[in-house]
Amino acid sequence: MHKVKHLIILVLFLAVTAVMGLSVWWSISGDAEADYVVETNVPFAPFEFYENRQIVGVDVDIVNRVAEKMNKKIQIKNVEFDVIIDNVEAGRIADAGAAGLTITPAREEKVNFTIPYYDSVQYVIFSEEMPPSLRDDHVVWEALAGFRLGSQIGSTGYLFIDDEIENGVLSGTGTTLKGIDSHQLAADAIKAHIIDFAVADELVAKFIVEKNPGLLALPLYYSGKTREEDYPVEESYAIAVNKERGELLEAFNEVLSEMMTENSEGQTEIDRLVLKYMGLSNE
Amino acid sequence: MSNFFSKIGELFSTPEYIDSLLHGFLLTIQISYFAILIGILLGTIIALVDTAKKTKWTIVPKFICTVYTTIIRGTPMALQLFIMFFVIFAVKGFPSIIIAIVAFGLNSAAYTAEVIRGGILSVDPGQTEAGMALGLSQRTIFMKIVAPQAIKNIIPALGNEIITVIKETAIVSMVGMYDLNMAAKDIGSGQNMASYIVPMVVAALFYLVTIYLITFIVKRIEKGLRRSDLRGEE
Amino acid sequence: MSENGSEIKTGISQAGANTDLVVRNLHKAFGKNKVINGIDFELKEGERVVVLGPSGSGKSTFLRCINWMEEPTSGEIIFDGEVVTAKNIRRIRRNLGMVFQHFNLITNMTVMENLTLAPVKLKLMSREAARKRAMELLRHIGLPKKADAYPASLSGGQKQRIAIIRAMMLSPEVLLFDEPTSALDPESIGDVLSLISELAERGMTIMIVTHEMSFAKEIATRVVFIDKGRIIEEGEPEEFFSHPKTERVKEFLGKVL
Repeated sequence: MHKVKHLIILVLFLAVTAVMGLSVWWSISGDAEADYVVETNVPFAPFEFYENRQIVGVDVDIVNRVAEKMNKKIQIKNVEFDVIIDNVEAGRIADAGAAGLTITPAREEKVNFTIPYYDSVQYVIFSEEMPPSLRDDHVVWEALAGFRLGSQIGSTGYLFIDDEIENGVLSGTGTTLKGIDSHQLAADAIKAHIIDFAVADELVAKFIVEKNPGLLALPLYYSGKTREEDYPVEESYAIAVNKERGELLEAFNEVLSEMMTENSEGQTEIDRLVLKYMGLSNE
Repeated sequence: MSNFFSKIGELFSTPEYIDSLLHGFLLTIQISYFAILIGILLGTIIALVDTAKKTKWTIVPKFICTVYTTIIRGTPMALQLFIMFFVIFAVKGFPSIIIAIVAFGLNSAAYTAEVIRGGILSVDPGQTEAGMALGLSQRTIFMKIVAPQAIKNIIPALGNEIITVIKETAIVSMVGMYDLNMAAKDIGSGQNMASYIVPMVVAALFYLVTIYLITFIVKRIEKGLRRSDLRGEE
Repeated sequence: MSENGSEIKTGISQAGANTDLVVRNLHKAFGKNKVINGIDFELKEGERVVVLGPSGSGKSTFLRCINWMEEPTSGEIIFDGEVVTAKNIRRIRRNLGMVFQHFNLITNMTVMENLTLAPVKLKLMSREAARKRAMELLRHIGLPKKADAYPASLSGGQKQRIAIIRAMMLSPEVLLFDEPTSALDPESIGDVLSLISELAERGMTIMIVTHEMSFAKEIATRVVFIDKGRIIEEGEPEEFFSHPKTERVKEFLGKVL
């Protein structure tokens, strides 16, 4: 009786282990061996996000186009945003990073950047119950002074805020910056009254406010001498490539310049993809 | 509050979200299952080395085991995971799930070893002496007397360790793996529900139910093993 | 041995040599703490030696050194003409049964499993024969209904009597008793002592560490008094108890009698 019970338990255990093992094996065999690995950080719609657990988006399309052109297999891998530049610089587990990366001098020391393929403006996300003081249809940096700000750690918004607090218009104003796991969580943090305002890229901010009644987003501007001279906080996205992967950089630049050629209606392929992935075109 | 419940309704009525959660849950279970298995196997070996008599043959393995458990128990799991991913297994294209299983398995082994060691040491030395006095071999004494009694002390603490591993695997989302936690982040992201709160609560429920089930099973096993402790007539 | 099987078999019939046990210049230290400081001792077949001594005198350690529960620091134990070593101790222990102060019944096994484990594992008996023999012994001590009980459900006296018949299952030549009644309530002490007496009557060779003076007087063929890890005095019980030779023993007996 005892023996039978032990046997049943053993058989059950082996069966469960076999099933689990097979499921792991199956999930691994899905990853084809790749010639290059491109790291990204999901979700950052419309550039990279999950659709049925597959990473899709504008950056993915760019990478796939490069793979096609080079006739190589390129794997896209999701990692934390703030490790991408270091991983690409080291080149051991990643050859490139496509994650809506803004070109900055510090990053340029570590990696090569492709030509910029998208210009983005920083937006301030806020609760309609507690809006910042506005200047027409935008917010200037000075309006954020003394408040608790938040942004995704390592993102452009985060770096911009940090810079303003360190040596810009926000320095000495008691403004605080909270680094948050993702832009989305920064928006939730506003609702939870953990921070007052969040700063994020335009498209991300627009996605968030569309789905979150009560939240609004407006562009962030540097203030000029007059209201008319205010200018937006802009940035340009590019793809980071390891400094020893010249062939990859070249292929990316070729593909990007093709995709940025305007058609007869003045629209580039990148623009078209952005609209598509934001669900704003009927493709 | 009504908004919260309507969002929960939205989540459960969207097949893609449920699908994402289930896939994330599968990865959580896959990593946990094999990590716990490695933890128990390796942990048992470490515990046996640790409780073995000090001789010239065991002194080096004993030292290695002590260093190992000290390092693993003295550093945060998240750091160990990062080191595994970005230093030790920094090989292009190496499957993430294997790295995660190894990282959690090695971590769990150190804790499991302590649990098993404690279980073995808690067995009354008189029990071993009884076996020795009867002329039984060390092997028989361990297998028939010490191990069965040690297991009684080990099972509850091992249950805790299993629960810890399952919950701790949530940090694999930090290295971009699509586990239950990442599924919640995905569902909560901008192009989906655009709020983390509801999917996070639902993911928490998944963890809770799993852990409740495990607690239940461990309690049952404990009860079975405690038969010989019950006083009174058979 | 007997047809009805209710008697307790002793190992006498198997004993070869005249002298069962010789201890030569035994020393035992735990770290810096020297517990046994040179004991010479002999135990002959059929003898019943009671070991007395104040607490901390090393009498239990002495007993435990004999079957290598404690490995001697130096000195020799010779059993049936064979020097005991780490290699042969397992085989020798079969003929050198031990009963502990705290019974040490194996808690995860039933009484029956406790009794049959060693003879079956050591391939001295078939499982069936061992069960049959165990049942006979249980009947003999009046506990046949406890065969399938776990030790936790037994009283101290029951546990100790079962521990004694467990040692007897291997038909040892010598039985060592380490304070067998010290952990018992007064009521069950009698049961255990009468079982030991019965073994003695049947000619079992016995060494016993005890504090039960009247029992010692009744059962012993020889008394050994140990203090500070040495044998201070030994002799026949009559002589030892009525005319102790040393001051130390006089003082001891004055306190305990």
